[in-house]
Amino acid sequence: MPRKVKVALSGLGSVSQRGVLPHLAQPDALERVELVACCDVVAERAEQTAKKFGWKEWYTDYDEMIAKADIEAVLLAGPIPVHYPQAMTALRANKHVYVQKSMTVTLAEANDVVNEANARGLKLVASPGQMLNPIFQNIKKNIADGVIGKVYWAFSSTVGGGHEGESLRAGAGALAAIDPTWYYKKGGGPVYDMTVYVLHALTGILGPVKRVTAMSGIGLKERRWKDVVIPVEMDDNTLILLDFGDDVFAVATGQNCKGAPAIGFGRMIFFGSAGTIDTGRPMMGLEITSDTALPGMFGFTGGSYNVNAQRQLKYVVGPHTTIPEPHVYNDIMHTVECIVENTRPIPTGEHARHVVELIEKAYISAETGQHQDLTTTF
Amino acid sequence: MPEVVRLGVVGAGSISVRGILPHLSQDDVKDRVVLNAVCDPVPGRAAAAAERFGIKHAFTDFDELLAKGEVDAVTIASPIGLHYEQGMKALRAGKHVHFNKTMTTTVAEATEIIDLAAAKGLRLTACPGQALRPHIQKIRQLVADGAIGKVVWTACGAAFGTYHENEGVRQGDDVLTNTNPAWYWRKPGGGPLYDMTVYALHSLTSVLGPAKRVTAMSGVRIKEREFRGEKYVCDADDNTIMVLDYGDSLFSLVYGVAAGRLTEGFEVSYFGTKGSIVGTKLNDEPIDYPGRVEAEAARVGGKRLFQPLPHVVGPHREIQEAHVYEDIMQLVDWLREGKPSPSTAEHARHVIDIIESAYRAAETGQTQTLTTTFAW
Repeated sequence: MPRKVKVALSGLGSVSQRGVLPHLAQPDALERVELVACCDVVAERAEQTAKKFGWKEWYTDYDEMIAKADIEAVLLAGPIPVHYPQAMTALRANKHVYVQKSMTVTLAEANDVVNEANARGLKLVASPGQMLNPIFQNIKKNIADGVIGKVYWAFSSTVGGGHEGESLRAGAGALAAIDPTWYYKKGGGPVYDMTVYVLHALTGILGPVKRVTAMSGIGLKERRWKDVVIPVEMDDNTLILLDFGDDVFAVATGQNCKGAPAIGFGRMIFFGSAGTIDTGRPMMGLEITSDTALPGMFGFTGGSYNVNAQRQLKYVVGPHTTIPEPHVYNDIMHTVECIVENTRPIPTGEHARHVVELIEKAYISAETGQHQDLTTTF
Repeated sequence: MPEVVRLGVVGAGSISVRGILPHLSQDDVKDRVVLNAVCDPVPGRAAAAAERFGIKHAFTDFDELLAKGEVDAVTIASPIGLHYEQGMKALRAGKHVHFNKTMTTTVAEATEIIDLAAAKGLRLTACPGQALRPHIQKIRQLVADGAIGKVVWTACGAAFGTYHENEGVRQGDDVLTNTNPAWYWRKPGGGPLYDMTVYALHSLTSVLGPAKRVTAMSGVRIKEREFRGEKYVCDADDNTIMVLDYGDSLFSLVYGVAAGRLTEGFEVSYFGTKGSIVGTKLNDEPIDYPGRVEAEAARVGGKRLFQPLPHVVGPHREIQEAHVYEDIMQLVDWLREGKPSPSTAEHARHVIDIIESAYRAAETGQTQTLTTTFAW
């Protein structure tokens, strides 16, 4: 029986309420983690959460929690712009860090986080751990083996309708009326929030990007959450072109101003000289279509592969298959595994940093009209 | 204005042999247009075409066609890289001109053509006249009426594949069926943008109007191609992806790639805040437009044989490249009846601006501002 890792959770909003907390309350999770402390700026929410999900202590002051709580690792699930200061505080206090996507907003922040973790020999795991998924590993291997010939380009898209209609925001009370405003301010937007998934998968499969250009803007100028009108300050409509070198390109789109989902969320299509691999909707059930056989891929049903991508994840078993955000839980348990067994994470801070740089440079390119070279790799 | 327009055909390659010559040698057009001359530099090809399609004059030299061909107008059906020079010569010789796509490769060339035609009082039409297509007119109306809310982004393009290497009309042993496609892979004028994506760009701009800016990435992914056992070095970009800016946060993804088709045919997908138009469907329901039932009934093997266009009637419904015939007849009507066509050189120039600027954006790493527009 492996030892338990003592953890704290910061940010008790939507992803925590829907996913992290219910997952970590399951018996198999409780054999691996000890739920020491949780924290949210809304006191009522922190208190109710601790009670509901069995966390020993609750805090409204993150720094106080880091200073006082008896923990080895911190799980960061707050709004994206607070990831950076919270990660730095935790690392400086010698805590391992798991951070929700996107790791940080800027490359400079990502450098600080990665360097601090490396200097201290601490584990840093950053979601989304797309390459923990055997399906994406299979696609990577098959493409590298030339199953679809020479790759010409790839298309990927993340399209959503926004956050204000989510179940835990439209409800009542501290746990179900969670303010989505931050998604529409700086550090929010669909690219850091959603496109980050396909960017991790694309780069995980095709390797680091060399150059980026983009166009970006605000499609819907205001949103409505309950009776509140939220002026949109962050781009909600971004198209990014990626250059992988050797004239291989990819498209990544991020929109949360769109009503009808005409293209599957998180869909990726790889086009090669000898075939195409289309992932369908990898965040939900996965229906991979390929005009060539994919060795090692299972679930073939005559022309396509029907695979539930999230069920392929190591820790997504039993009750975890029916709780939302199982991939987040899998990333967290991977963090726990890396801490206990002292192994190197697969979703590294370096990979997340590359994606953060890509996103930051895409916005810079859109603003300046100048292609941007990437400086990081992984 | 002439009673019957005397037409010269410049180039007797694939598009002429498959489309232009069969269409214009039908009896039903003879009251409006007559094929008087054809030219092609390949020895014997123009003569063979003239014989097969009953054309009075055949030349190997384009200048001779202009001087002796007894023509009022020409349709330029040569490799794209030759269009500009041939178009200028034709205009200088006082001929009206129809250009097959793409009209020219640069805005500067297109502007010279437009200015010279205006100065000499000559008419121009240019393929592809997507604005004439009823389903595109209908989509334009739907988008303008807010059927999908505010349009946020669109996607369209084309995949080069090995279409030209494998065209049926190039695999034969006689001069009319052994046309070499190597120019499609070379500069100037080669590559999938000028050849195929141009359709999607005309459709897109027929619906949304002129674009404002473009950024792109582009390169040559297949450096060498093979045709009938011969190897050809390719220097025209075959892998280009661009994003157009229409202003007010409306962007268009446009691709012309070595392979890999994201969208349906050359159709444009429109994504809005309240719905989407994908191909010829609005929110998954077929869009109705004049001629739809017949057009869909004539869809064979993924190809729409019948295209519901004003002049595509009778025997023309069975002949390939009906849209090219349509654009030529647009010029014929213009000359005979003074009826202007929406298949304008100005629209073609704007699309050329998009393509040329995309290449420049890719090369310089700098988003380009488009300088042209068109009446829309």
